[in-house]
Amino acid sequence: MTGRTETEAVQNFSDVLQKAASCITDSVVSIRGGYHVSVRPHRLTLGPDEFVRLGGEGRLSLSVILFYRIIENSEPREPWRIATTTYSYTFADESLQEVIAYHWHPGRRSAVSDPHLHLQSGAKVGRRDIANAHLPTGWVTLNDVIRLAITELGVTPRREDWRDVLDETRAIDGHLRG
Amino acid sequence: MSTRPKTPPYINERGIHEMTLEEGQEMFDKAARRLMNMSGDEFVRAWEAGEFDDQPERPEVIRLVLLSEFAK
Repeated sequence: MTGRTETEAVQNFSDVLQKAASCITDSVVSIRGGYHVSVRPHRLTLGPDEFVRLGGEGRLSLSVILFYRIIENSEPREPWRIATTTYSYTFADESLQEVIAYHWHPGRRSAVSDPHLHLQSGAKVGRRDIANAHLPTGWVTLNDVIRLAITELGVTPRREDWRDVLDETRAIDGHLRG
Repeated sequence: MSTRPKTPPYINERGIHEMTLEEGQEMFDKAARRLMNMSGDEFVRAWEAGEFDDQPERPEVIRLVLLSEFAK
């Protein structure tokens, strides 16, 4: 995700996430931080609360946490780009008991620096070893999680063109890893 | 006393909600109480004191560490 200015890069990043999110929620992208180069990553969520309620019989909620940096891009026409540095996508049940969580959080006192999945108490797996395990995954995007929600978890899409929207935004947000 | 709305005008002209420090603190505090039965401040003190050093991989701990960044 790139831009002619730092602000434009953030705007473009937010626009893509917002468009993908619109397939399952009317929540708005919420940023804690700013539009400038910073050693400390900026923080992004779907707000205003920790979880957004989703439609569908499963009565799931979704929490999105993304940290990103604005860094220089090698393309002179769009010299700024967004690089995701951390993500957490968590589905919870109606009582906010967490079900599954996709994590990538390198460098936070954790020995696990690769992307992974947690099956949490709400998943009712029943085996403690699995419940505590970091199940390896590839790089997961918000787009992937929204598609999973609709196609596998019974979340009701909010727009008829959700497939087109997710195809369109997938091509962009698949390149955000920082 | 009126409470501040969480919808416009706090959505900026770019269509992005710019979370305030107070909103970030509230979100983090609620999560700490839900997940650990402690306040956000108590979690930060415990984390910085190394009280979770034997379980830094716990999803709940990681989650709160990440959410604490919204409260700064």
